[in-house]
Amino acid sequence: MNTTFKNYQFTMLDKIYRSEEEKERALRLNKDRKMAQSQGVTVLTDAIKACSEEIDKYKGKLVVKEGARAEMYARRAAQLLQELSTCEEGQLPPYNSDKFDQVIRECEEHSKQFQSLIREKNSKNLDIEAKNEDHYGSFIHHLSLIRNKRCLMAYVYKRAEVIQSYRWKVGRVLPEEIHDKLNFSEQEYFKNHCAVIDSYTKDLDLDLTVDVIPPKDPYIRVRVLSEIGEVSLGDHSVSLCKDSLHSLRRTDAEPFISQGLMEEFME
Amino acid sequence: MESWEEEGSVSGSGLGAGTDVELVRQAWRNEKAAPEILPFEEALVRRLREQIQLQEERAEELKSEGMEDVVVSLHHMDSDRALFLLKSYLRLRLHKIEKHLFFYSSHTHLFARLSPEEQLFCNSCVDIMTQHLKQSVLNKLPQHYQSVTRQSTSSEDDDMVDSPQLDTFVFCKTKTDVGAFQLDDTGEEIVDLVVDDLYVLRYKSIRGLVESGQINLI
Amino acid sequence: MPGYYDIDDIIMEEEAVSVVFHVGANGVGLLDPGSETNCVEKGAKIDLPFWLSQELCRRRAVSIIVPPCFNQKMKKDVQADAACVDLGTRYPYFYEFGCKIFPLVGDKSIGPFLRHTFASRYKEMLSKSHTASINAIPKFVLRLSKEEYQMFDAAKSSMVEYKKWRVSHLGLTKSSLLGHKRKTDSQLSPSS
Repeated sequence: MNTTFKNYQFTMLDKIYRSEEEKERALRLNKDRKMAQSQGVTVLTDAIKACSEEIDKYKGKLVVKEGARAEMYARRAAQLLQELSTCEEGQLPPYNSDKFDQVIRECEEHSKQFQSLIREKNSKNLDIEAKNEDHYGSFIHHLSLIRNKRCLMAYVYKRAEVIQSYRWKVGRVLPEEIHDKLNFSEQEYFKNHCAVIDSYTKDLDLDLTVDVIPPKDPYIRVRVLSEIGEVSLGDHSVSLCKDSLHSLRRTDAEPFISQGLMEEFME
Repeated sequence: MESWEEEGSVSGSGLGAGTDVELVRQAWRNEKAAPEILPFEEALVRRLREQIQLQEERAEELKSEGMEDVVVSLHHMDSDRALFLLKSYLRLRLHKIEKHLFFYSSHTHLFARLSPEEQLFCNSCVDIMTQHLKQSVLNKLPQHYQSVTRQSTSSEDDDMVDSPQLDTFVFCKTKTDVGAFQLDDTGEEIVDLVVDDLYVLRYKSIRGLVESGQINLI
Repeated sequence: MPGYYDIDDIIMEEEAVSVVFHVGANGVGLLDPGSETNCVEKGAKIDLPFWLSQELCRRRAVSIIVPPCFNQKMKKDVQADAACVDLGTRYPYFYEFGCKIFPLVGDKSIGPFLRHTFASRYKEMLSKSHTASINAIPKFVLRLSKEEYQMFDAAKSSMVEYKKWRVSHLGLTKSSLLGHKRKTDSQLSPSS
């Protein structure tokens, strides 16, 4: 029994000893791993530092020729129009004065180049009709100028057409959401356009901005959506309070309905 | 409807029965379909306005005489519909003028087709549009590129002014027997235009027939 | 002819075409990415936007190479199944571009090819535009060129308006330019 107990003791001790050994080994390994990790991190950090220094050496010196080509020769002007064409029919994106001004600067650049090439050609004392490399170069700059002009004109003109439609579809007063998308000149243009239509209406004594769809009934029932207040209609006045119902002449109600201030009440 | 018809014949101002409304309706259809502006129907418009006015006055008279609401409102409806037609005709013309402002203002024979009020409208629109374009674009461009009608000072004509597309195909119906009709300048296309038949032709070819009233656009 | 202010025409003319220069041009080196100097050499083959190529070609300064949308491969694709050719993604201005480039490249087959392509695709487009529902966009619409899409849209909206006219009461509504319309309104009456 003693031997068995002793053997057991040895086995236990052995086990304990082994587990201690393993613990130590594991600790050692962990320590090594951590050391390795921190060494690895150092290597990486050093590498990053070296790369950054290298990049900084070349900062500001790299010239991307492809980028420049993309910007000259009316590419930017065409982008202005793309913006406009992707917008829903009858709606406008905000006036892009940054891009617009950039195109104007490009035009100045083309004009400078054009003149310098013409001077170059003249200095060679050739026949005025002669077509040398300077001639073709200046011609390309001229074409770029008129292309830019066409894009800018179309941009402003197309927007002006939509602004014209506002008088017919919305009325004399533009809601803020629309007003904010126009530049100063466009806001002026809208006011002037309204004045021209008013002048025509007065000459003719006929309001063309009402009666836009074929009438079925001279009177319609309406519900007031937003507080409008006291309004004079012909020979009497009406109090248009929010949520009130009225029977109005269709032509009187039309301007309020198109602005969303009242709706036709349908049973 | 019977009582209204009687009423209409008694008062003698039933607009639906008169031909002026029909004429304005046809003028409206022609104007809608034609790519260019047509001559202004001055006399017709004046007569129709007078008749609408009379109709409105008649309706008020009947109301004060105690006539049934239904009859009064039918008179109103009649004049409203005629008024709608008239306004739509005038609106169409204004939109057409706005679409080709610089073209109409610079071509005398087309400018002459506009009513005096429309001519004033056209000139005013040209003024405000030119001002807007100059302010926004043209004054910022290099010197030789600032014209509103020419791309540059080296342009030979007004290459920025768009003209209406007269080549557009239109649906039309003949009013009278026209017979063999030459569609183009070369004499290769000849069509036999029979009365009351429907055709789809280029507006350019039948311009003259529309003006003379031999063919109506739909 | 499309107008000066026609936006679709302007955007279409931005398409790139390959050209060969018959002359040299000074001061425009940015056009040629391979150029070392600020010049384009005679004989250089570069891609230019169509608006520039058109004018230079008319003055015989360059010649335009037939673009890929009108080459043999494209013709074979159309022959096989015209309606399946994806013009919407690849060549959205197929017809307009074709009409303009055809007199400049001297390829007489382009004209009849355009007509044949259009005629073959028209039948399917016509039938589908009249049966398309108001809200859903059929897949084939993505394959349509801009011009075809305009026709499709016109046919579809006229069908929609016709149906509305037949069943509904034509009422006045708030202008479609102001924010979004409620569904109930648009079902009852057309926009002004």
